Amino acid sequence: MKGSSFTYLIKEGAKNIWNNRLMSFASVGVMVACLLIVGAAMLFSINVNSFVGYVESQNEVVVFLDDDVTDQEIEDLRAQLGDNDNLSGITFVSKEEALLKEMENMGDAAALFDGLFKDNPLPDKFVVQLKNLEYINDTVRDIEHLKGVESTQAPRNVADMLVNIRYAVSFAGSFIILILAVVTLIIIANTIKLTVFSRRTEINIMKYVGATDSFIRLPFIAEGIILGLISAIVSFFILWGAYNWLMSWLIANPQSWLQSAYGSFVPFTQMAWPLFGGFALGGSLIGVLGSFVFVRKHLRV
Amino acid sequence: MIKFTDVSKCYANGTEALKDINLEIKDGEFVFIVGASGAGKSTLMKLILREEKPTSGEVEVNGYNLNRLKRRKIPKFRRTLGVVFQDFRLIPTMTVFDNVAFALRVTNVSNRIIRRRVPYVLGLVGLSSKARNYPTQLSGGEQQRVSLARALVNNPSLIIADEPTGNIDPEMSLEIMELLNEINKYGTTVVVVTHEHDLVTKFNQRVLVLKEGEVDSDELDWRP
Repeated sequence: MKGSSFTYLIKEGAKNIWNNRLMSFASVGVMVACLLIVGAAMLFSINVNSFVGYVESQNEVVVFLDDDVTDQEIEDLRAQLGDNDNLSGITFVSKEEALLKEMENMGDAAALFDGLFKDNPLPDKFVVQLKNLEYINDTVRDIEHLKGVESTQAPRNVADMLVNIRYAVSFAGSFIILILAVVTLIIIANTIKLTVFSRRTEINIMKYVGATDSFIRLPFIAEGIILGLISAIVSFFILWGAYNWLMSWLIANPQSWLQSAYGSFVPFTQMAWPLFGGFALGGSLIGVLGSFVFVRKHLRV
Repeated sequence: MIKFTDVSKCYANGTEALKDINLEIKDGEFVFIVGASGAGKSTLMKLILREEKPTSGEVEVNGYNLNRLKRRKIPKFRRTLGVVFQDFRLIPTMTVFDNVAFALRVTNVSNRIIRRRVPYVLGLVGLSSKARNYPTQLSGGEQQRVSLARALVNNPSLIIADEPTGNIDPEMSLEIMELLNEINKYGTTVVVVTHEHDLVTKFNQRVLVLKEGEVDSDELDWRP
């Protein structure tokens, strides 16, 4: 194919969009609506995930050590905890530090504790954070088997709940996104089918004057890509605007319980590129596929 | 050149549209094909254009054996002929110029040649002044002349006209037929499918009569 006819075909595709502007508008509208719903579902599930992750990171397991533990054993334990893949942020709190902290909390009554320094009833302890709450039971069991560990205190119920929420959100999220994606495909396929149908005379004429199949297809494919990209850009900016508006609304309304979670909201700019890339890719892919499949039907003349 | 050898066409629903047709149309001939509706005219057209394949027998057009022509090669074959339809089949969103140029663009002809060739053909059919108009701004006769220009523009050796006068008024019909006759004088083979008998008798050309899927008569000085 010559360069001149290639540019002609691309131009033809762009012109067709304008000539069939009502149909193009309908396609873009449908695509934007679908991308918005899918995008909103994605943003929501990303945020819930981030929120759950934030709550998870606040969880600590306290490891109490035997009363007669030696300095050497503490060092060994520190190394052993460090070897555990599921642990992060290991902090050692000695008896004395623990007692001082208690006294701080007591304020004026702190003097009552003075006598305890000689015979401190508080144990030495490690405070550790879990990387993945899902394995809390295994990890805690491993810790308890270590030499020098007396007992542990772990928020197992909270952990279970959070893990369940995370599962539910990612399952429901991907399920909803999948269904929406399928619905989007069907609607867009239909729109393209209509566009192609409204131009069947044109395709028919092309066949009679000896146009090759690829020649007939290219303007439609160009059209599909252009419409897909336009839809991607439009829905990207709408989503961006809506997201930021929602964020500022949350800051402005301190009574909102969601505000406590504000810190864990993912800023839009952080998701912008993957989202835009996904939109653009999805939009143009749908456009191309739709044009390809439905023009094909009319090529058999 | 068109050559049918023992051609039969039976559609999937059992209709026997053509029965054992043998005919030959030589280069440079002008042939009318007439017949009542259902006589097999459209099927004959479809076989010539390779829209359909014969159930049995062989079809040869412009040196292509259509029985053995691969799907991929159909476009190349169709570029050797020009088709005129009863309903014009012009693209309403394109100007007259672009409608005619379309047939060339489709075949990868450069813009330089398009700019030379299209005005020339529009001149042949007498529509030079309407190049910038849209089909809807033209009369039926003018629209058919545009579609004739489109059929002519890539210089085909064979023009097939399917009821070219079916949608236009009688004076215009004669004009179109005369134009086709003129084109034939330059050496292009012309096949006209029609049911307007008085038009046919005015021209004293070879007439092929189809009746119930068979060639009923094939003579020069035909009278209905």
